Amino acid sequence: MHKFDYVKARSLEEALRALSQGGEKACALAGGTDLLVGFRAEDARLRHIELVVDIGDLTELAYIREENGCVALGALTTHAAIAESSLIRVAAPFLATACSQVGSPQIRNRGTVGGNLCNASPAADTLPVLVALEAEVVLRSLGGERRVPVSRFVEGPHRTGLRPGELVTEVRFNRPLPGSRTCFIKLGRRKAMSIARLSIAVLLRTGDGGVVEEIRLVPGAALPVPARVTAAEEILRGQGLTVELAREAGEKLAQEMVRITGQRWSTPYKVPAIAALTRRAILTAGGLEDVATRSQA
Amino acid sequence: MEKIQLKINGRLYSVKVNPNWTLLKVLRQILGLTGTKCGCATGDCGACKVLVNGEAVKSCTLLARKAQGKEIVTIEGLSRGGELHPVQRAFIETGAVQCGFCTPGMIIAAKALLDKNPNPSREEICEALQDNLCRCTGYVKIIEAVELAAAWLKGGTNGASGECATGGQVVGKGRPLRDAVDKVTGRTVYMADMRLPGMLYGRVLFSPVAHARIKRIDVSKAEALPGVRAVVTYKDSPRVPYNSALRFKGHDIPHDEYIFDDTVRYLGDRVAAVAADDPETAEKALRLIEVEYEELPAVFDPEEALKPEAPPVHEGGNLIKKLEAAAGDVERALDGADYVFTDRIKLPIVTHVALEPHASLAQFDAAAGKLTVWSANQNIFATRIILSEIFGLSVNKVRVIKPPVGGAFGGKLEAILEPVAALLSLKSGKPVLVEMKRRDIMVSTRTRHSAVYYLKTGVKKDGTIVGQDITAYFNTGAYASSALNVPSAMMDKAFRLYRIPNLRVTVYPVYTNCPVAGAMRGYGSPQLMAAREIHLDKVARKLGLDPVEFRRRNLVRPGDINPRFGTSLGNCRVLDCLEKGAERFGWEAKSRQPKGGRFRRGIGVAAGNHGNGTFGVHVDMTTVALKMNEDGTLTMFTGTQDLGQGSTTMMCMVVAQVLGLSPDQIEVVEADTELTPWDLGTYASRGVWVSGNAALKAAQSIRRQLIEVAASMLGVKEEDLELGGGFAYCRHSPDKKVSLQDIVVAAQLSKEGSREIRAYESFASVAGPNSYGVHFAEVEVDTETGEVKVLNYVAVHDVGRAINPLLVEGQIEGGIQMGLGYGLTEELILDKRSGKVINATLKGYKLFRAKDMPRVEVLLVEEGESPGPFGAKSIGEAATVPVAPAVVNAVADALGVEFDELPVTPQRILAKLRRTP
Repeated sequence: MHKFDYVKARSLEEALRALSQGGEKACALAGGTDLLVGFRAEDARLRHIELVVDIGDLTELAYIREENGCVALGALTTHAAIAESSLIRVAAPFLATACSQVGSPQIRNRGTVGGNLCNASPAADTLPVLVALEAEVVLRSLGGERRVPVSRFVEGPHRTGLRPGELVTEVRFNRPLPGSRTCFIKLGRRKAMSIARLSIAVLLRTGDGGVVEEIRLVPGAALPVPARVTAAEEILRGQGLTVELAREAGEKLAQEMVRITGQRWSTPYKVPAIAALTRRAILTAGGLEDVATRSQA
Repeated sequence: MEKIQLKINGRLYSVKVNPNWTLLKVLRQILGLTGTKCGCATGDCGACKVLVNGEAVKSCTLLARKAQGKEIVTIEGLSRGGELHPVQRAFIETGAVQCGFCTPGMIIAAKALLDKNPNPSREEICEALQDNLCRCTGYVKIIEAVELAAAWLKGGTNGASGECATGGQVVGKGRPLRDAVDKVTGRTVYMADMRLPGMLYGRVLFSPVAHARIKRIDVSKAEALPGVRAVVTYKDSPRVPYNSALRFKGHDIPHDEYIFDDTVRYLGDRVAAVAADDPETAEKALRLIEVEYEELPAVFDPEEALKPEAPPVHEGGNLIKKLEAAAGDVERALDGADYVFTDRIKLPIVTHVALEPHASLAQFDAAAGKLTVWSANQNIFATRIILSEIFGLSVNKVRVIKPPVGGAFGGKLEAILEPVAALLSLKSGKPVLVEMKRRDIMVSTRTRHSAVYYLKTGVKKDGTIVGQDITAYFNTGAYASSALNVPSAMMDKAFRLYRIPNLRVTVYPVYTNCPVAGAMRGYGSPQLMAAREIHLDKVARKLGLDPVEFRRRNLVRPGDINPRFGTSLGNCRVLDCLEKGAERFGWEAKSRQPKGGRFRRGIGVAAGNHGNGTFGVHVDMTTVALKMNEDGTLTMFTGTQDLGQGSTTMMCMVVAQVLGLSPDQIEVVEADTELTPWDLGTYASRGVWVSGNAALKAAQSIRRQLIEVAASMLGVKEEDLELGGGFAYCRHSPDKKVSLQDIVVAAQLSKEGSREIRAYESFASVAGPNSYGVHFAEVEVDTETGEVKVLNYVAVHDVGRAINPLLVEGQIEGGIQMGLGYGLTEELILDKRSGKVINATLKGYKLFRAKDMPRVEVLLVEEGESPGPFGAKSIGEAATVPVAPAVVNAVADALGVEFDELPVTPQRILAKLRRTP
């Protein structure tokens, strides 16, 4: 396996100093569910790493709290903790759902929200939700702190805007307005079947008379970087939600995916699948029954 | 290096570690705690799970230094003081242990679950086991084991079962594997757990291009690396061609492979190998070998490869040999048919995925001129011949030993690593353990032949099949291996399932620059049945006939004559399987369900058959030796290779039944070419049919000898004596008896002529009937995403008689897991331009997991098959044969579409749905 040095940080200060000294050749280790697999598989993206800074013991980075309408998640908060948090379940239920569907129970117990962000896998379950929440990443370094929206932090598959010496310490988002409803659905919960790991995060708020006032649609594993698909959102905004409009928005979102990523071997499959997923998620969030869902069983 | 302290199983260990060492490496390589297994090293299989502060963690994803200060429990720590943990006991009792390689990780995952959730639902159990892979059990008995352990833990009992068979009936009663306790405690020593003094680690370099001549190969940098002891390339390789699938001396099959050659013929072909002091150095040395390739044109499709302009993979063209088998007059029958239906069906390359990686350890003793090879292998005697021929050693100077094997399924039948390990040992003068990475196992060992089938079937209006013409193109890949054997075996099966008087099967086995195809569970039958059963379902539907009724009209009946040879098909009970299964499955009622909406349900049925041994093809012999000991116990010597399927357990049961003993009283010396008598190999579903019979024959010989001595001791006639409960006793006055130990001692010390009670008996098969199965599947298809959920599954098998029903069920359940993958998810996908397998990982290659499995019900038809031991016949391979077509037919039924390519993935389903509005 890949050779590297290892330091265990006893404090945030120590971690930042180690990362700063290591510069480009250093990376932080939290749950280790992605990083070690990457090393073992001789992942080219990790070839330059010479120093691993273990931040796993910095318990001060594991928290979920709300201050002045802003929900903050410490970078070391595990997926399991988010999935079980009563605050998250009320404030952003789709984030709890997404976290409850990450990997296996063991992965959820060890994998962290900060790690999921930094790994920036196109298939990461939390990313579309965090983008839909317009969440920000808090980055600390010896030089200070900066905040970057998740949608800008993730620059491509397994690529982020993390600078040498920086550590993700927190993810934060404004609590969605009262009346907002959310939904997260992903394909392939039965593992053998998951050819593509498509998912969709929806945040929707309707006003008087059922008119859609706010709508955010973020597909997962469909675009190079997770982003809102505004062209699809526009179909719904200002309209009364109907099954037909949801279908249209789903199809628009699929078209946008093809426009952005081009035709690939998986496109013929992904197009109908993401369209259907999006329609269902919009209707679920909107509390409407999906005509196609009624099973004969 | 840094010194750290790890608390493992309550004990504090001080170890020096490198920063990049994982906990798995430290456990296995530094501390020798080899109960924790490594099946992939990339976090995909779960075999390396240990408890860390009570949580199940894959130890290959945890740095050793990160584990400091935590409570670590490995499988070795669960049963301290000799007392098994209830989870371990439950795994044994339910038959959840087969090859045992996934078992430690499974047990750890189960324990972590039950500690937190003493009352888990089936879904919660599957969830907890979802990143633990198993290839043997179909997870069915593993899930049962967790449920049983939960019940025991709740009820306060530790599951010590009072039930213990004392003599009496043994055959027909379910019994766990004889080595199950070793497997649940992590004590079983698999190939990669073995260490010899001075042992080196070998690694193989594989070709990055599909077809090329090696223009230049420079190993000087690799050789110069400190710690490297030997580097071998084609320049060191004996110029002796061989076929890795050789079965016996003189076996006439193409010899087209060398340990290393100056030409590489597929992306993944062997180029060179290194032996070094440690695995890391060996891997580093591989990267220092400089190779310049002169690329040659390559071909990956078997039909393309037959075109005149196709590049030849070997001299002499790509067609290895056209094979044909026929009965009756096919042309006339098709001309006279009311309807003729045709199909083209394409089948993928799939692979075995035994959880234990391939590994071989070779030790060449130069002074003695003797080569000893330990290997995870299914065919030690043939491997001995191959090694003796390659290295010019006499056969008695080659010794091949099979340690416990962690699953094989045909993938360890051929000599792949053994010659490499031997060459490295020869050159380095040291013992060398060669191991393969999961990625390389998936590409560079053996695969199932992919194939294209053309089927033409003539039927009467009432559904009677009058004639059938089948042509298949078998992609054998870059080397012949089993290119002739697999299609021949496949053709033989075609004549034994349906009453088709006019039938012809033609096969073109073709070289391509693909990974090498070889033996895999079913050996051609899964391909034939997948293509033909899917095709026949279409025929039935076009005729407006129910698929069960269509098969009812055409399946063979007991005593039918094989139209190809004019011989009897024996007691073929496939119709019983159909009727029994249709009833249990509720076929009638289910076939009337309406279809509509997003989630559509469908049902499917398929029949299948597979052989018992190799009778009629070539030699089919096994020898078993038995020795009675002074205390009435027995030692059995067998060359039969148990791969976790339980063949030696079965043989002990047969012997115990004959001698009135308990199987526990029999010790087994297994699979060592120097110590155990000859056996053709563990393949072709020979276990019960041939090895079982050899055990029976040897036991009967022992019985005669015991009775002979006992009769003279008791002064009674031999025919009045019976054996039972450890005694020879008089049938009419059971008090008149003598214990087996007294008989053995009396024979040994006899003044008239000392003798050892022992037997050395060869059994060669005298017939080759088939084992049959009919499977029923119910699926639910999501028409929006193309995802298939297999809901219910009923498998009925004609096994003659189940010697060990527990293990027979286990074989069938595991066969279903493998077949569901063949039908729905598994495929090694080749990049069409480079010939590179693009999904050679356990993430990319989709195996059915615990959560994906349906409810499975297994029924047996036990009507006896003579001359099987106690009427028993095989199950190992037959189990997986009908699965893929049953489930694909169910998907087709749900959607009202037809499929012509496997696997039926969500993509293919959606593509079909979009074409048929």
